[in-house]
Amino acid sequence: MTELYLKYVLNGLTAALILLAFFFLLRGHLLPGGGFVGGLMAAAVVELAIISQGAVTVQRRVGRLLLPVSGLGLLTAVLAIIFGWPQSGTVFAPVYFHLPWLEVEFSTALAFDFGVFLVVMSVTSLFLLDLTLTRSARLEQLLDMEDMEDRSVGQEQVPPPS
Amino acid sequence: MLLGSLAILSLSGLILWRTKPETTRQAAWFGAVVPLAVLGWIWRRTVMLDATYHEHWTWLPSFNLDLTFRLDGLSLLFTVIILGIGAAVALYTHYYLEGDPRLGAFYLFLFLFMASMLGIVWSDNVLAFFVFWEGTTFTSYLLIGHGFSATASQRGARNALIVTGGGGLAMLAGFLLLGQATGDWTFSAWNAAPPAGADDMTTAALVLILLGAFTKSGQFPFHFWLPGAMAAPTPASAYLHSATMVKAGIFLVARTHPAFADHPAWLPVLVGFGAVTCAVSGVLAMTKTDLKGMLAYATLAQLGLLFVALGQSGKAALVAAVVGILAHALYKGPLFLSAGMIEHATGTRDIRRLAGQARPLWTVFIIVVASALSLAALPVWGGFLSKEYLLDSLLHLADTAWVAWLGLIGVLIGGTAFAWLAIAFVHRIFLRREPDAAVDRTHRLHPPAATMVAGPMALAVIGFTLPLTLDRWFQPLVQDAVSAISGEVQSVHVHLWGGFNAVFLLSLAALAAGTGAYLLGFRTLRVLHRGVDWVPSGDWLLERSLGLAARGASWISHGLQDLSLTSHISIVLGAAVLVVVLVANRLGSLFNPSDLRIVAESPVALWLEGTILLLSLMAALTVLASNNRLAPIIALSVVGLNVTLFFVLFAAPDLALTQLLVEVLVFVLIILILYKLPAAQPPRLPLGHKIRNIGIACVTGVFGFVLVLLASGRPRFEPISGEMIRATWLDAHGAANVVNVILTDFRGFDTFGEMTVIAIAGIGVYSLVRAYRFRPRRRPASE
Repeated sequence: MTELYLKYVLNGLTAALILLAFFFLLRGHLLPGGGFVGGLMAAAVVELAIISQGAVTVQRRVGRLLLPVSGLGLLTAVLAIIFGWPQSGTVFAPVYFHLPWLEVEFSTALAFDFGVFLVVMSVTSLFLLDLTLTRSARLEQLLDMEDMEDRSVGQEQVPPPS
Repeated sequence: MLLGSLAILSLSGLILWRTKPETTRQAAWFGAVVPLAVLGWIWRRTVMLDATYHEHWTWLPSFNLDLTFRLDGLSLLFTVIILGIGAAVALYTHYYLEGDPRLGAFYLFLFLFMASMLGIVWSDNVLAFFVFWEGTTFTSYLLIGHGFSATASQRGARNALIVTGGGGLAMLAGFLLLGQATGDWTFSAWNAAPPAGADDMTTAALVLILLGAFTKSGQFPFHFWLPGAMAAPTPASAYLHSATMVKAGIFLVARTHPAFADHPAWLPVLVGFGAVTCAVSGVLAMTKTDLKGMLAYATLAQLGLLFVALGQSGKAALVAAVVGILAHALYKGPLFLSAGMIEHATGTRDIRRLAGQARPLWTVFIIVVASALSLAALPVWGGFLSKEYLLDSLLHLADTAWVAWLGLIGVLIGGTAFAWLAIAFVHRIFLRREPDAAVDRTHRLHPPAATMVAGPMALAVIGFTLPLTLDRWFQPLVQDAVSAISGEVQSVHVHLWGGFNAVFLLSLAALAAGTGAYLLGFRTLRVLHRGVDWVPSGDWLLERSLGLAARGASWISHGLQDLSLTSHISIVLGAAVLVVVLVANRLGSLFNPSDLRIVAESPVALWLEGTILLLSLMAALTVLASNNRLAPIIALSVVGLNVTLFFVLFAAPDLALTQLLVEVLVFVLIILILYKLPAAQPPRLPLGHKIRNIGIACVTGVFGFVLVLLASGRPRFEPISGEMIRATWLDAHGAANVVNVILTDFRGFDTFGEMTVIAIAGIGVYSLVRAYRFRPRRRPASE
């Protein structure tokens, strides 16, 4: 299902939605928003792309990235959690920075929220994409995989003695 | 410093992993030098102190979990063993797994294991101890399953994980019981003020902790996992399953010795199970033909001996344990590594196919002979000294405790088996002319490289010279270790010769029995083999219970899920109603009819809420009235958007935003899926089904309505929002969004748990959908 009119507005809408998602993420500490809402907003971008370009195209472009990005989100959260450890002696203690060239305060809580953002965005997109891929697209991907397996056969090494 | 050492080791593992060690020779030396350097660092910094070294790092104080490190004599003894043998194994591994593309991963797991093992022996905090304990369980699982194409190594790895992991959980339960009872969460506090008496709580905790120690150290009846784990690459077997990991159970018992030694169950349980393990495993070791299998059972027997020693409190028994730990690490490590070299060189590990290797493999021959002296307990080598002290202690104990006789018998049978094994190794592999079975002539014999021999040779030489060095260089180590186990300062001098007495005669008898059994011949052991077959083992129990668990799981999931979607949803909704009603019943006063009233704050609010309610009702009725697919979905979406309006009315912008986004995403997703489904008329339901569905829907709806009314009607608990808002304004640097501050600051741990769950769900969906993709041909093409 690809809609013609959506193709024309897609670029503008995508940019606007991504900006909005980051806007919600960044202002989370002060006003309504945060990583969860921002992540959902970013997932809406993926959904928009699915409607306008079809799941197969989206799968080709970002499909492989989604699972690694969720891992990256978890990693970001872990780093944000343990960042304050040496200073305060406990994990989960937020650390605040004053960025001198900006009138903005940055905290590890924001980094943690960014981790939430990444996880929510990638996993939601994964759901959307996997549930909308058609059988033919899945077949296509299957063929891709078989192709890859064929190529990896030649590189197999002899197992060591054990 | 200690935490830094752990970081250095983990980092070295990462470096070795990323630098492709299979292509560079330097990796082997790097892997060997790092543990030795760390050992030197610790040695310099602590041994000069002449006191226990402490180090404290706060971790999660609210969970009583801190990194409290304590380096006393016992920890230092294990540190020396872990890092010293670790260096030898790291050097050896490079040549053993030459050309394996996953050598880097093996090094990574090896170093992570080393760090976890050091964490075990350094931790004073019991919960940190448990974390490191499970760290060794996990890394050993990865190491055993290294050749993960082989079914045997998969099975071995799985069994090891289940047995030691389960035991670890039991141990954790024991720690929690004791920690709750005493209020202390460190071994040193428990040891300083032993839990008095034998009340039920202490006994339960003791049993659970010993369960952890017994499973980790493969004591009867958990002795089956260790031989199964022999499918691991030989360096892993040598390191984990002889020198370090299986000794974690020994370490746990030694560490808690001052706290529990006076408990009436301590002596009989440890001596009894140790003796039975020693006897059973000793006999089993004699019936095996695989070199590593023989060594694995011999290791179990030796661990049994150590438990027998640690079950007692006398100084002689503790000296026996410490010398035994040291000597065993020094002889069993080289023997395992030699088995690997023999396999590498000849292509077989079956003792029946080996003969006359003394000349071609002369370096290995030297190592095996030097180690076998200690294994056979020939005077005055390490194994003999340990056994001498142990027998002495048991003979003294025999006057008062009957279980000492059991211990004596176990030790003697074990000693016989050790002597038999030592002779079998030296004679059958190296000295005799002809093998029992046909030899694979196609394998070209190639002696091991000098670098491969270096590690085991160094260990064997240290073990061989142990009688000379034990009372000079190792004296402070042994003395401090004995002091740490007994809980009071002891002066220890190990004497090499205890005199020509009953103890010596017993040692000699075991030696003679082993020699006699060997001379009687290998074939007579068939009788033995048949005899030990009936010895009960946990193996079949584990297999049986695993099968039962799988069948039970499939029964439950088929019973609950292999139905139509309607039944599935009915079960879920019905269960939700039932559970809440049952809980409410137990809590009592939840239901108060006077709370069931609707209060509006103002006429305007009433009017607004009424409008939204009316809209929702209309949408809900549309769902029921429509007879195609699209209309109910749109109508349901309208209901969801109305809920968003409610959130706006009650000033919950975060919830409104989230609800709105979820509503839109789900709506579009369902439309996308519907677009792909073939058009079909909904089936006409029989009247009974209709009534049932209506009934469930009504009950759930009314239930939800009443629940919300009750919840909003009268606050039953002091709301925590006030506290949260105050804390937000005070602490969080001018943050104003309480919801977000709660999510990221106050309840960060919960949020992190939810993130992890979401990510795992993502992986689950991904793999499920992909599994479906792998089988496209099973479905008819017309679908």
